[in-house]
Amino acid sequence: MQTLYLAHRQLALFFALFLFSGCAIQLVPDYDQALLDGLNDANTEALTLFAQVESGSTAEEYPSHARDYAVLIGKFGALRQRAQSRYVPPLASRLAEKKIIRDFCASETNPNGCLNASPASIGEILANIRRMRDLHRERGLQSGAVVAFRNRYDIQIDQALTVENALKR
Amino acid sequence: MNAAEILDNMLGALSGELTDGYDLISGFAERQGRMLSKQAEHLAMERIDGFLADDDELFAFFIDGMKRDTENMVRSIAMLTALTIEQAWNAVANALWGGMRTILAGAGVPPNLLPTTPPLMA
Repeated sequence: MQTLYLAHRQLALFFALFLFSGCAIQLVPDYDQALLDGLNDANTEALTLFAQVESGSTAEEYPSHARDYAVLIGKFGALRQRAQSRYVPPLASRLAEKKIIRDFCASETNPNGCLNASPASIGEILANIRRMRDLHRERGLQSGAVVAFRNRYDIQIDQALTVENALKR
Repeated sequence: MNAAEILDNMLGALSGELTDGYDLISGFAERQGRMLSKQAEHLAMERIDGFLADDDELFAFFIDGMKRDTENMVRSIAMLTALTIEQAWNAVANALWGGMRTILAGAGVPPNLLPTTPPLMA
């Protein structure tokens, strides 16, 4: 019985050796410290802007915030470009071409949507800030509107920060 | 080191990585779910008696935005799952590689011929 048990274990080890061939794999991009630092920096500026207008802000007050919006849009735009253009491992790219993954994950702008998720989240941050800027400029912001934009922003930045932090492995 | 020890090491490494990955993903999903619910509740209140009461276009922007945010949450979860699979696989490969190195070194293979980490599958 003991011999049979040992034989099973050795057979299992043989198959494990055969299956894995001792090779490591990489399915998602490398950790990017500069991207994470940039996200943290831009996040501080975004939260500062939300704090400045959280009680509401009129259209007449928009000019004093115009530069803050431009800086934020510029920063998140650059971060989105950086995340979008980074190296995706070949094994992951081949995986992303499989139909089941392609149908679910790919978008027009990002064929590797599930293996490089941050560009889409940062893209939504940009759309959100642009819409908030336009509303502020045209009609001003009521406090309820600021809360709605802030709620969306919290969801989006949490996605980007969680994913980018997790890549530190 | 024998086959049983190598297998135990592999299973221990696998278990650790899967537990960490599950904790990360479940925490993220719970947090996102809470934030999406909060936004849905806020939009409903504002639609009844707030800045969205007479603004169909802006209401549509936020509703469409919630849909895209939810899709991006799912994509993020898929990416975190892929990361967990990668880490679990590599933990097993590392344990296996470590065992093989020990056995081969014990059999007299020079250490400089045995890389410390397993090769990367391209």
